[in-house]
Amino acid sequence: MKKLLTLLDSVLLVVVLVTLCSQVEVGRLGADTYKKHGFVTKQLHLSLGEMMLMGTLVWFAISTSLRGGWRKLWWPPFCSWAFLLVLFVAAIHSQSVREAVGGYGLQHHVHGLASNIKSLVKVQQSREALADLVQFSLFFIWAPWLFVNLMRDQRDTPQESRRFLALIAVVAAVGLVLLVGLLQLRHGPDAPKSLFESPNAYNGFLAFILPFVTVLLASRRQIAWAVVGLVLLVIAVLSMASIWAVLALLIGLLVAALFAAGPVRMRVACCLVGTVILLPFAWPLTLPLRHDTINIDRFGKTHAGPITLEQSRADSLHLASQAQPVKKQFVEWYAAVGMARPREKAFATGVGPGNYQLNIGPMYASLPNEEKMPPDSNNLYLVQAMTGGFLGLAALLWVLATYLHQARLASGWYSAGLCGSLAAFTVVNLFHALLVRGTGVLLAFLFALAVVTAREAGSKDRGR
Amino acid sequence: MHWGAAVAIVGVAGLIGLSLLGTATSTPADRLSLLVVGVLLAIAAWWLPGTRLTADREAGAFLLCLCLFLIQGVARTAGPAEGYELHLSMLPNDSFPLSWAARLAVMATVVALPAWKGAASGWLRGVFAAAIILVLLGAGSLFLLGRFLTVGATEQVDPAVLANLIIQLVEYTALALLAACIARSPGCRTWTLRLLPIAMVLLGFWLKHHQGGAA
Repeated sequence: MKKLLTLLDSVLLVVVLVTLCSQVEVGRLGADTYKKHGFVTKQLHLSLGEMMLMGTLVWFAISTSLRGGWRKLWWPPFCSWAFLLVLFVAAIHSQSVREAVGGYGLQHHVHGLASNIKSLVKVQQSREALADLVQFSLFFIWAPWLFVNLMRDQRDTPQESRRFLALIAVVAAVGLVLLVGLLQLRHGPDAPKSLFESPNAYNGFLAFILPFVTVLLASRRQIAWAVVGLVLLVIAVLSMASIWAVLALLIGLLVAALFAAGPVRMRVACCLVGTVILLPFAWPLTLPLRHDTINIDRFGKTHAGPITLEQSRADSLHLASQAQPVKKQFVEWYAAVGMARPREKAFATGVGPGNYQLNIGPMYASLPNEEKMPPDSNNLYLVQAMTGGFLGLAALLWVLATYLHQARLASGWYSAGLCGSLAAFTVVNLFHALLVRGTGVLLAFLFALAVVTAREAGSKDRGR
Repeated sequence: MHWGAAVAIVGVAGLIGLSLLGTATSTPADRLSLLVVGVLLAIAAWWLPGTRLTADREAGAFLLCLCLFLIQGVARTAGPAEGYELHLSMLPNDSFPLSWAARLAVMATVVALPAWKGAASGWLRGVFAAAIILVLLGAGSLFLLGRFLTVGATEQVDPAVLANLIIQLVEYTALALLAACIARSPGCRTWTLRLLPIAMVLLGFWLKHHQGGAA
């Protein structure tokens, strides 16, 4: 029975990790009011990975109860709980959320506590806040908790280590994502997005997981694995449309190389240099098989013949768009800073989690606001500053710094890989906010790996 | 008691006093937050298992900071709106009113300056990192937009936004430093975390009674 439980835990860990490296949707909660009535309200997107994660969480709670192992579990540090508390306070302190809920109550003559609680899920502002609170609790509390306790399972004696299994699952998942991306690259015409909803999400995912995967492969005894790492990097960079994500990836690799030691450092550096050298030779891979496709770029200009990613990449490099002299992505940075206007009263604790899109419009004031924002191109730090306030941004950075410190305590190549990935994550979020489905929980996995490897390094030191 | 913590506590008491002034105004969200956070923190500070939380310096600094941010939201509305105004030579057409609460917070932080040295913690570093990131992003985007768009109080890009950002960052970072100074001293930290939530709950009821409306 115990062996069966252990096996099931292992299988679920692998399945969760593989399915989490995607944004494949299985359904949506909430009515599609846009189709029926022409206005948008919050729909909760249910991704395959998150459904598997929640199912595994429930199973983990049951199996831990059966084994009586609650006292042996690891729990997330105080900073993670503090971050959740800040988001909760941001939700109840937000005047815009308060007014929306109160207005609904007046309009629909809502009375009593039960009715008021029910109205919280009817009003868009509070629904967004609730959905974000649930999502962020998954990213920062429950996912790291699950991953640490499954990878270093101390509920039974002797303890079970599933770290290597988890690493294989993640490498396999990244390989699958890249394979799908490569196929999309070859068959065009749009920029590849693999198993994600937008090219930017796909690019951001690769930017922050590949430094770790590269160091992992470079640390193997056989040099063939380092060559595999190099191939993965070349394919990734070829298929990435966002120059900013490529930049973040290169920075992550550089940080990983700096933190690594001995042959691992040499191999990671070779992968980095090798990627730059091989790119021009691998460029023909970007020419799709369908040569008769007509390509219309975002300026409405028609290009005949084979499609390359140059147009998408050139677009990400251009500061201007056809509609306005500076791209909306960068104009919105200054618009978000407008939360500091005293009349907004949102500087300290923000406008409430999930309420960024509902509040950013008026912040534009006289700034040009003519074009649509590309998906997944927000600045995470400004989004967090606006939704959770100065307090929320400080809490998020506190969490990141805490786990970065854990990553530094980890032994050997783990430290280099984790630091590289966290550095890439820090940079890429300036251009593509990655605390979303498919990438947020992967961050939780890296957090968990930092904790597990730091604890093992600490145990070894104590043993000496 | 460490003298830096004493100065910080006097500053906090002053902020609570400002919140009680007749000129201070609050919103229903302010009152609800004061009551909810006050009750939660009181449970954490007085209930035996929760006291391990308040015994931790970093946790204490964070919780105090959270409380001060909420209190400041009310305290900064106290006093005449035109009070003391900051004028910047770069922005001659704009003025930036500094509330009594903001001045008190900054003055208390400056007086407690030597106490900052031992007050560093992961939470405080997060606050500083957030402030630096916001200034860099704000200044960087102003510089970028200024090259392509018109800049001015009535133009496309209003530079007063960045000035407001920096002023508020100074104000709230000062509050975080005050919280860190109090948290540095174990006795101060414990008793402030026990008494402050009670003060917040009372403040919430006071505001509700005097300004009306639901919490």
